[in-house]
Amino acid sequence: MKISNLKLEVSEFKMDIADLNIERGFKHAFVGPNGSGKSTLAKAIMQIIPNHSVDLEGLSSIDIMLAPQRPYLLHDTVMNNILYPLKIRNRKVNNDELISLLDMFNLTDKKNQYARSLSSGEQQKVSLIRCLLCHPVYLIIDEALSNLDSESVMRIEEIIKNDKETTWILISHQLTQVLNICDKVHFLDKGKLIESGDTEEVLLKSKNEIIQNYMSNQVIKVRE
Amino acid sequence: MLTMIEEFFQNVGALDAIKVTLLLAFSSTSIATILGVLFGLLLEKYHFPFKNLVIRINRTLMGVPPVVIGLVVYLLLMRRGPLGSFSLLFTIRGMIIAQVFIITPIISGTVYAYAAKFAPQVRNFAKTVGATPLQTELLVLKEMRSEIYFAIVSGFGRSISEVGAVMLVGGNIKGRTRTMTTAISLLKSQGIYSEGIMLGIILLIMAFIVQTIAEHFKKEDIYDENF
Repeated sequence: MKISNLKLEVSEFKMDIADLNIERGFKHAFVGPNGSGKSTLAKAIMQIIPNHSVDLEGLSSIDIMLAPQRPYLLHDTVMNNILYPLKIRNRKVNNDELISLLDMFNLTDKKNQYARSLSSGEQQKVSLIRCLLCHPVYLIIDEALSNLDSESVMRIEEIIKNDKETTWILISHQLTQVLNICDKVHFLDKGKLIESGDTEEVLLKSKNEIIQNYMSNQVIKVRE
Repeated sequence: MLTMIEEFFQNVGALDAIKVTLLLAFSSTSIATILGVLFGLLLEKYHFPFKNLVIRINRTLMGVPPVVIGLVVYLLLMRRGPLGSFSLLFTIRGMIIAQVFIITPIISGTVYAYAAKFAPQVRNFAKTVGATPLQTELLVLKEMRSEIYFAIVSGFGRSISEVGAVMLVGGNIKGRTRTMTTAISLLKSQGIYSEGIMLGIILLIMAFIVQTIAEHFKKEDIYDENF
């Protein structure tokens, strides 16, 4: 996926990215302080903010999925929410995989429950399961693990690490998670791409002042 | 008691009035639903010059006195009016036209208000899972089903309780265009209060059933809490 000459204006926020290549087969992360444009970039990729700057290189919109921090759940049961993306793709569910994911996220007993009555963490799990079952080419996880319990986070991290099929794009403030999982990092600040490259090169060895300041602030926060 | 009920149905033409009321309400609500839901959703989806003015006009029409609509439709359908050649005045079809003008803005206005609030979220969600434009719009309809039902039931309620427009356009002809509300109005002017009250009670029961259905659909929202 290539993003070139992306210029957006959303309210007072301006985004200007000249060139960004999100190579397939890697685990990517969008990192940056609050308001840097990470979620806006994800929305631009998904065409939630319409633009002509994202080149999907032969893929269609059905090949990219997004699991947001606050997922939208249909006025329906947990199971129907999970199966909806497969239904619109005319694809049958892999029952073994479905059972295993429901079990992994402790949703087996709640599969026939009204989805909107779930807790926010459980709603994030439903959103993740419906993405995982589709095996999209690109999957963007926009802070979608923020309300999960640590056990579920570990399980999803394992899935991401072992997955060779999907190209993952993680938007997270958990730098240990990013360092642990991702191969590539794209650092954003004030709507601009500051640096792109290998995770450790960008986060730990960068000479850029903005990145160094951000990293030292994160270390202070962890120590506190 | 039995003779009293028999007299009530014969003298007042209650059975015919109930039939006309229901026929009128179902027909006008069905037509207004198609027009109103479509217009409400299109109004939400597309941006065009003077959109806010169109929304304001729609809101104004939601509260316009039915008798004014009745007068306008009467002038359109009268023999010397632009649609006089169709001979629709003092017919049920003419009354349906008047009620469609009354109910459509109520349904479209309600659907627009809900769509403006909920449809963008549904469309964004549809994009995140890769839905096609057609699948997206079908999903919007499905996700707004309880709000659409509520709008339809509100329109139906307005239809069965309406008196001004149907009186003007229908002419309150016994056995043909007399509705329950126009019958009550006539009975009151004749001083026959007991029959008027009986008819009123039947109308009240019908309105109660309609409101109960509306409440049932509104209750779904209670479960939307995120605990």
